[in-house]
Amino acid sequence: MRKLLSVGLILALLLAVLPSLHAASAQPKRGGTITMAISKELALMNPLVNTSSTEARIRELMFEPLLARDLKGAIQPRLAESWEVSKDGKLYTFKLRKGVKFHSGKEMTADDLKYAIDYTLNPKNGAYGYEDLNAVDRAEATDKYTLRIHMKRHNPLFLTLLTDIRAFSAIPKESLPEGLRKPTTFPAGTGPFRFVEWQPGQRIVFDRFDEYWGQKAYVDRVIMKEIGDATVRFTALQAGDVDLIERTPYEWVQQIVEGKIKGIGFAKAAQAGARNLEFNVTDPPFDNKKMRQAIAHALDRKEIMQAAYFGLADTADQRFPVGHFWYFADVPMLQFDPNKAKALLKEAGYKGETLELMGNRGEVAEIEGATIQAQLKRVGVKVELKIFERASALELRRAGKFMFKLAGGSDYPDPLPAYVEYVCEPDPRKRRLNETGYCDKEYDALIKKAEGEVDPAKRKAIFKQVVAKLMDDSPIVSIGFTPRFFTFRDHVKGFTTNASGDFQPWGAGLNHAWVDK
Amino acid sequence: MKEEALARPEWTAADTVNSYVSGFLAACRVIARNRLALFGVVIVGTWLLTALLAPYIATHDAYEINIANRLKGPSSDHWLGTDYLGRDTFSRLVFGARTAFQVAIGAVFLGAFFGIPLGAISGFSGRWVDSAIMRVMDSIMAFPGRLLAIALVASMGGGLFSLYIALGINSIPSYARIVRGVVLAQKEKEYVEAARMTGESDFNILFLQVLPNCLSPLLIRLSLDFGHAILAESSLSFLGLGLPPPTASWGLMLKEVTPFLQLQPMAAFFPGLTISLIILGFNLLGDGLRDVFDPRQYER
Amino acid sequence: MFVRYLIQRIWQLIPVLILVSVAVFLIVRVIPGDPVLVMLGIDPEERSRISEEQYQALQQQLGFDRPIYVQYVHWVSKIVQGDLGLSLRSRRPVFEIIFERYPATIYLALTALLVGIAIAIPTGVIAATRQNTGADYAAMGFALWGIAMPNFWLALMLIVLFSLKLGWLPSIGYASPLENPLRFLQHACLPAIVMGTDLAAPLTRYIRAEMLEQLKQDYVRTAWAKGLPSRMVIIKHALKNSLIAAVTVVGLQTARLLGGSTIVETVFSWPGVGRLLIEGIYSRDYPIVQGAVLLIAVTYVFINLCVDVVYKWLDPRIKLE
Repeated sequence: MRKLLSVGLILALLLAVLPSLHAASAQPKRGGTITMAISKELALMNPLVNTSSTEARIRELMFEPLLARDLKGAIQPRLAESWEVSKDGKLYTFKLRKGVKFHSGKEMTADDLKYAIDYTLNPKNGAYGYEDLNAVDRAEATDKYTLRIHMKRHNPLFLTLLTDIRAFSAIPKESLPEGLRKPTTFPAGTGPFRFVEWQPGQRIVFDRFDEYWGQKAYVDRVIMKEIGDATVRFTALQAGDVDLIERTPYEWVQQIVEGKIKGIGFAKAAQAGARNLEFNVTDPPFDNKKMRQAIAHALDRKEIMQAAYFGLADTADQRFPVGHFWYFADVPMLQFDPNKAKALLKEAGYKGETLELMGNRGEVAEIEGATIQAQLKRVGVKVELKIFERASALELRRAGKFMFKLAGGSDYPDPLPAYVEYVCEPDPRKRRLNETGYCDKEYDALIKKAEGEVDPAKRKAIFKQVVAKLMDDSPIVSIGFTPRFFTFRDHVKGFTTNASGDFQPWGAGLNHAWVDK
Repeated sequence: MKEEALARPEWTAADTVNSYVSGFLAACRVIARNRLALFGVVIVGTWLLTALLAPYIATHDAYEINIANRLKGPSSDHWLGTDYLGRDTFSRLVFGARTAFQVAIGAVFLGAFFGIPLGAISGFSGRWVDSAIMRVMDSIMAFPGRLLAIALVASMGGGLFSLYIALGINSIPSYARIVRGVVLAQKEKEYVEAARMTGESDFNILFLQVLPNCLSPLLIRLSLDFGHAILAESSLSFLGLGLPPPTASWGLMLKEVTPFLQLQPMAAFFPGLTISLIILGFNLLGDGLRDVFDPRQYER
Repeated sequence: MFVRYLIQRIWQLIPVLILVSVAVFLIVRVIPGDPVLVMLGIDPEERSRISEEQYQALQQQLGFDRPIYVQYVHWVSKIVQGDLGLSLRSRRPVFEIIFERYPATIYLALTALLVGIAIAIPTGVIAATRQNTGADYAAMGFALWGIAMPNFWLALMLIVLFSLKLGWLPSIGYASPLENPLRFLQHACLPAIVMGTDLAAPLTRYIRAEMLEQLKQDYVRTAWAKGLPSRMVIIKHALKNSLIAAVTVVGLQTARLLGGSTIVETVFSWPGVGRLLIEGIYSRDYPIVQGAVLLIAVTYVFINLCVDVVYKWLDPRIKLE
């Protein structure tokens, strides 16, 4: 008994001391280097053209978009200090922050931003933001710090799009070659780090930009190394070759969570992407709503997520996670119910035909696919897994040649971009995210109504109808969210990430990290 | 001795068959006397039976997943443990034998089907036909087979047929070269001249009289090629370029557990051991056949 | 006579290279997957977000809208001028990219070759000189297993043992031997053993068989009878002649190694041409794939030519003895 008491006393003392210890070590220090392993090699030193998702990570160190989004999704100033929108939504006037320096030392002006927009809008340049800016008619620099954007039509999502570095970012005027010619170095940016050197296949080096207008970074230097294989990436972290890695394999994260691996911490981006099952609703057998619902009822989401993400991921039945402002708990989901699935299959007239499930090679789709295949077998559905590597899958999807498929989705700040994708577009080549071919007048009318609505309560009511409609028609079935894990060695402090795993100023990232060695 | 028999002008198709049969029986007798070769036959035979009787041998459904039971070591229920989806490794190895033989038979057949006639024509016609065919064969050999495999798998979404073609095309040159070599050697022999005199057609001379001489090197080649095809299939599947998951394929099994090596090394151990074993079997068989047919070795 | 043979052999290479270039040119274009889509259509969710105007503007700039024979002629005419074009993905010269990667493949191939020969020669000689003893059986067992074992499995097992369990060697990575020889050896150790075993297993058998053959020859018996020490005899005469015969085997293997082993490079994350080719195919980077295949084919035929010529040159001496 006494022993127990003394142990309790020591514990209490420890608990009392710990917070102060924590506070002492939580004082950020300047200096040091962080070496980060990224999953894909940098290809192109052109911030306006995207070739892989990792490049967005690199760009977020050096470049900045016009606006920012805080953790609640609200639009915040960044390079633009304030803005005005005309009543018809066809003219945006941005007042730019004064004294923002490019890494080259030159001050950023409205002319530079106009250049970036013009560059993006030229289809010959193959810029990534071309689609984001498709409602833009032209940009105009009325004075040194005023940028006007004239729109072809009203786009209710326009400001949200401008918070994304992928739409366009500030670069000095005439700093990129036109067309497909390659830039020989990165143009200067305005971000917290500046580009130093790139040794292809080996490393990319960035130094802190001391004249950054915002909160300056703590570390002196960031080195990025490409390590394609996820297991290898983690081994390099364990060996101490790198300090921080992205996309840690889930089985290793599980080991860290269980305390089997010491000295390594992690930051979780819980909704870095969504995982959905999408049906081609224009062709049999999934032109039949009952078939789609039957499949939805046959899915055991928990098992799929457990198989693919070792229990580290959340399941989903709507585009937004449970508990989110835009999640509608009162819209009933299509529950896991094998008997109901069997009954629906019967009603739909399924006679044991082989269904083809498409997925991308080399991703979790192979695991998810095998799991779904086994689950559907339990209700008597024969599934053949068609795993294509990405380039082939892209083409097949664009041509609408598939039965049903596993697909990813982004996270969205607002339901409008999430649900606007399912409005009718008969030409598969022109569809963006709605590769299902779903086309419903009632749905389109609801979205139209939502686009014109600004009152939050009314919006919520409309989107509830939207979600219910989509749930009933089931052109897509949400399965869960892809988590992504950054893992780092203990001496890396202050590194956090937001739910989508990017390096936005409010989502933390490398410009908030510091080294405690 | 064989040559004398062949020299008879009234040589018929039935005689060809007979010479094949008696040759085969003689080979069997020699192999039965060679211990290593016999061992090879036993290995190959066992796996062939396993492939044929897979559903009766497997202890579990090779495709039924059990997430709670993933990456377990060998136990009384799962003799060789489970894979990353909790599937029974032993049962998947058993069904994997089916996949391996299917691919190998298809690929070897395709290679031989095109390679033998091409080699025969090449050797028999000579001059520009010969050089044209041989340059094509050289090109196939210089061309990285992976590209072809990827091309086919990508365009067909994987599957047996694409593997048949990818592996088959790559083995065409070896058959063509063997047959061409033998044909070139036999062409000048007396019995061919004799057959020509009697007005026998080139086709008959080639296929009924000259080609049987290729039998021995071809059998050796076939046996080795079976091994090669199985190895190639598992290599491609290991790279993710072979059969799509969840097919029970040995190479794919290895690929699937590679990320989990540190957690469960056993999961990678057994599929590799199986591949080694079966290829060893085919190689021993091939060596045995070489002993039978290669007089130089035979005398030793 | 010898020069004529050489010219004839080189002359034969031309149609082979033309065929290979046509084949690769057609094959990359037959594979489904449009390089322009891959260039444009990638965002983190792998979704397509491609506008028709951008698509057509890029197709036109890259010349993919022209008839295929025009594209081929254009490509070949550039090659003749020593220009392999620009990579679609990174817009850098293909030549530059390939020669960034090729050294890694060459260094590994040479290391593997050394490992292979270092294993095969002593093993083969011992097996032959002590025919039908335990040493012979062990050597032949090694050779049989080495041939039968899939190299990727050997690679995995070596990683498990030496990197994961014992922690002696890094499992992956690369350092240039010119910059950091020690780290290169650490990194090259496991892949070189894997590729070296691939080479050593058949070579051991070959050397053993040749040695047995040589040891029965008259000249060995004569030397033996003259009372020369047996070891000298074996090494100087029998081995020398066996090695000449082994040139072909080694040469063919070298040609294969220099093409870059996709599997070994993938397992060990070795930045060589084998992986470059695979990556190029995945991103439908036509110029990279075409360039890499051409390089691999040229290497292959060139080494084959060398082997044949060297053999031809060595051959008469064998017959003279």
